[in-house]
Amino acid sequence: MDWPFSLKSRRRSISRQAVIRLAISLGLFVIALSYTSALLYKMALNKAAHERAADLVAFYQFRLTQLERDWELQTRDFKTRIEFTRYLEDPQTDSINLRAFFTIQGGGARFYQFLVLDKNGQTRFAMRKDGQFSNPLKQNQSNGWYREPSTGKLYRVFLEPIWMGNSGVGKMLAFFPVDNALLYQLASPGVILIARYQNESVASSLGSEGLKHHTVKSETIERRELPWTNELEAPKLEIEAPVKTIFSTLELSIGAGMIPFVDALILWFALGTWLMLQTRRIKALGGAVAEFSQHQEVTSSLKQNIRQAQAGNVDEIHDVAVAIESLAQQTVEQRLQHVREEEQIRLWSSVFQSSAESIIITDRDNKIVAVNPAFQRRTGYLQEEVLGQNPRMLSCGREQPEFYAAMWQSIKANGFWQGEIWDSDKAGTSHPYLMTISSVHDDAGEITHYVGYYTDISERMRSDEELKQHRDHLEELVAGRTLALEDANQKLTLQSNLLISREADLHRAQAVAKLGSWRLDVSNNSLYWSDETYRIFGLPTDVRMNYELFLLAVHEDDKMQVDQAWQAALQGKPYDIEHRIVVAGKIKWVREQAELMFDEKGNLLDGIGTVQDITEKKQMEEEVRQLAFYDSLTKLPNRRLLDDRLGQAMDASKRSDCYGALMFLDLDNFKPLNDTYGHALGDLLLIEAAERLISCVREIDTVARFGGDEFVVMLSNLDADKAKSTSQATIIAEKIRSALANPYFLIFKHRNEPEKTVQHHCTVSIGVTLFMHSETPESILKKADMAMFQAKETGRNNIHHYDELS
Amino acid sequence: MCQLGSGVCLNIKIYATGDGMLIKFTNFVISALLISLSHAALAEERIVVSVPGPKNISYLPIDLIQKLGFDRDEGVKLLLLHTGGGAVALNHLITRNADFAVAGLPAAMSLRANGGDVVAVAAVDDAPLFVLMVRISLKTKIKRISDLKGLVIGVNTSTKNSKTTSQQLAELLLKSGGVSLDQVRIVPAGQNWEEQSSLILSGAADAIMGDEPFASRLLAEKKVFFLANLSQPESVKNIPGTHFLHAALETRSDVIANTPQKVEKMARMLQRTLKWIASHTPEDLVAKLEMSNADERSALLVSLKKYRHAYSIDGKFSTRQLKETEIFFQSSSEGDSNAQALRLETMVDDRWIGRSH
Repeated sequence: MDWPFSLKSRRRSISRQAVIRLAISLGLFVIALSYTSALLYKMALNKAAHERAADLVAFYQFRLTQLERDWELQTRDFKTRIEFTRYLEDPQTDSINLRAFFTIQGGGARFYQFLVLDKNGQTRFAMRKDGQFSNPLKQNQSNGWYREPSTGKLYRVFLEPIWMGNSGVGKMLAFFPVDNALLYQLASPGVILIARYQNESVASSLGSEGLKHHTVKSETIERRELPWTNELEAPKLEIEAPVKTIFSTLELSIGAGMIPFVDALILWFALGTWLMLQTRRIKALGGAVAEFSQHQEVTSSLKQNIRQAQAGNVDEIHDVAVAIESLAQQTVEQRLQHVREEEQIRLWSSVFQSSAESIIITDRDNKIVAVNPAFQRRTGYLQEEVLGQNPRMLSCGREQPEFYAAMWQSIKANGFWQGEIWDSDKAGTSHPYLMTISSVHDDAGEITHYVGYYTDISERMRSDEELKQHRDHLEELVAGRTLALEDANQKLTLQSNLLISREADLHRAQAVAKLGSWRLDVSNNSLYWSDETYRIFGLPTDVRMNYELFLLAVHEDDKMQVDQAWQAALQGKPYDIEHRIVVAGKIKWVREQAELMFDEKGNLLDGIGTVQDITEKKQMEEEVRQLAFYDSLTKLPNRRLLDDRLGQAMDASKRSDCYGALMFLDLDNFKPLNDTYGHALGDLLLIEAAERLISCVREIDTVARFGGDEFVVMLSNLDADKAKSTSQATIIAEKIRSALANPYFLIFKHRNEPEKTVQHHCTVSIGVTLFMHSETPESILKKADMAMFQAKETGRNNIHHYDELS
Repeated sequence: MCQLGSGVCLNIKIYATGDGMLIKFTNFVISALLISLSHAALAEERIVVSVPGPKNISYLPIDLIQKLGFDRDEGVKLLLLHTGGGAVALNHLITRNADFAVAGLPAAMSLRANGGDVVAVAAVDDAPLFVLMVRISLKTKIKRISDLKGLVIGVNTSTKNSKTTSQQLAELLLKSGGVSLDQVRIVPAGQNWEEQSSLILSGAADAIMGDEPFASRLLAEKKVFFLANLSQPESVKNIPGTHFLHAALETRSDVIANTPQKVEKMARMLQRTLKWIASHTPEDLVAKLEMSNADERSALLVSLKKYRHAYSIDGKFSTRQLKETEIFFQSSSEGDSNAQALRLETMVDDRWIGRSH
């Protein structure tokens, strides 16, 4: 919906108005601020300039006073010095002497001119000969000013009386130049000094150029004039100091440019953005209203406008936006409700007209107000014939008054009644109906109408009778079949119990044999384990097994072997393997066998296998091996294993070219112990001796029991040098000899007697021989044995090396 | 209203009525004449030159400028400020009493080394003319430099921050003769006849590192004898850089920057004067100076004839002579780090005069 034409034609955007007013405000603000800033800046400058000028005046007043005093003192000083020299007392030489005096004393640097006048005022001495200098002072004047006519230079003149001997008291005049140099030295940095005498510039701290300079008037210079002395004719000292600007021109330019910019920014951010936001929100409100006016719907565009209007604070605009949205929604909903109601009325009318069921509507007094065409078809009455009638006219008289009383009671209590009723048509034929009566209420809950639905149930009543007959027949059939099923079920229960019993027997048998079984079904990828298999693997029977879980239980060192065997089995090879598994930290040995079934293409169908716990068998095999290679008493390798190790050491010697050594040991003084205390104590000594021997050699060396009290120690991989190898073997042999020579404390208990400790001394005779790969084990042993006999021969508890020559 | 460059304003009204065109024309001509005359008079530029002297032979060209009228040719009012030494002249320059100074270049270097703003713009001399003269009464005692121990020696007056060339030379001579500076008393002797002669005649000084023609005049009057003469190589053979450039025209950098026309005019006046001297006889020069004192005139003529090549012929700097000057200055200022670091080229501006080899 467009805005009214007259309004639209005059319409001006609120945001535009806001921008214009903002711009005008900003402009006025900037002008006011700039003007105020400029005024303040100028006032600050003026104040600073005045203060500085006042300071400068005070400073130069002080400096000029000092200068005057200094000049006066210098004049008196020179007077005193000249009088001291007494040069002036001799008119013949005074001039030359005084000139030399002034030259050496640096008079030229102090005065521009120095005159000495006699009492008649005649010049007796002039320091300089150039210029036109004379006494400018009046009677009784001790100082004054003199402007030299040829150069126009100004001088401060000081007069002092001076003693001239026979000539009496004369006068001396010192002329101090008020020149550029003086002002240059007086001027502080940035300050220009100009001496003005009788309104004419006579000297400047800037030099001759400065004499022109002072005529330039400028607001940037603060100028003050100061009388040199209090005398009327005294020159004026003009002090020019640049007005110290707080900011340079560049800074001012930047500042002048920046102030409006910054002001604009501040105003924009402080007010402008807020104002723009509000105008946008108001504009959005307008847009929302326009959108609703145009479409009469809560469109996404309207919602977007409402959201824009709501943005920001919860304020009046926000409230208006909420109200507009609510109003629009309510309007739309009401319209929809209206449309729905109309639609429903149309629908109900259609239903009423086209319904196959007979419908009758009465007013609250039970007078028929409407019937549908189906009613007219069923009863044969036209609508005009029944309007205003009581539905009682349709009663065939089969129902009793109590029936109707209950019906009306139900309608009043529940607003609803349903039941079977017999009515007659216009022709007087009675028909059964399923009738539903509902009461219709107004908003106040008062009954306004009753609506009755008639459903002809003549056909249904016939069908119900037929169904009843079929059901009775079926029930008879089911009863017969049930008896047969119960009989069959009894037989199946018996067979099932038998199967369960057989399976339990199988489990027991597997447990006895420690033989578990498993079955692999590829079709459903399941691995079935028997109870015994779970027990062997130490797993609970509810664990669902697979190949990976099985592999986890396999000993780490055997996993590869098992997996390779299984992969081979999958290729059709027999699966029969013994390996270790780890159950609760303990190692078990199992033997696994399997038979796998494949289809014609070689794909695995299923498999069945056994797992047998063979741990005990393996332990027995290990014990047998121990008995075959180790001495059962000392647990040392026996002669058989020694031969094997000796063979290995000779092979190693062949590879490394290093010597090995073999020691043949025989315990001295062993037999008396056996004879005295019996074989049990002798066995204890042999065990102790074996332990001492093991402690004396390296891990790679072999200590074997050769038989009785004879031991063999084999040292391998000693050195390529024979002498060094001999030395190493000797060191170890000595270590052994020393270890075995220590006393033995043997503790034994004889039947029911208390424990007893026997101390026994026992030494050893050791025969040593070196060997390499070129010899036979027998010859090596023989050489060591011979060397041992030599040791015995030489008094026992000895070590003897086999000597080839002997 | 007419605003003139000098700042003086003349109110000129030209009436253009119908009758009296002649009167109007006459008024116009007179007004124009007045303007031009006033402008000429007011435009006369004032140049102040501080220079040792007067009538010191080393600085005579400056005295001659006015006599030759070259200042008027340039529209310049030349004011000479005579001082007792180059250092004092330089002090007048840096304290703004003068626009230019004519002083010994070594003295100017001494000032520059002490922070003074001084720039050399033209050469005045060609040969340094200094004479170490001794009172005649000491002739029997003083035979060589080493005999000066215990005496009073006068030199051109130095200042606090600049040592005159004369003093630098005297110190070098004394050192070369084995006399240390604490074995003599050095006093200022000025740089004109009155000062130098008075020191000798009064006995205030026993010897002076003096200038010509005063030394020759005192010699002629038998008041002194010469112990060393810079123009005689055998007497200064142990002094390095004895062919240094003595008198030169110097100014400040602000004068160059603010009033370059002044420098241009001053350099041109000096150059013309030097060329005049080179093309005239000593007699012409002395006559031009219009000296009233006969003795003074005579002494100057003797000196000018004696030192025929005392002056630069064109004011150009000589690279060789600048090198000699630097050597002399470095030798005379041993132990002074600022002086040793100073390079003469940094204070020479030859744009107006030029340079020769």
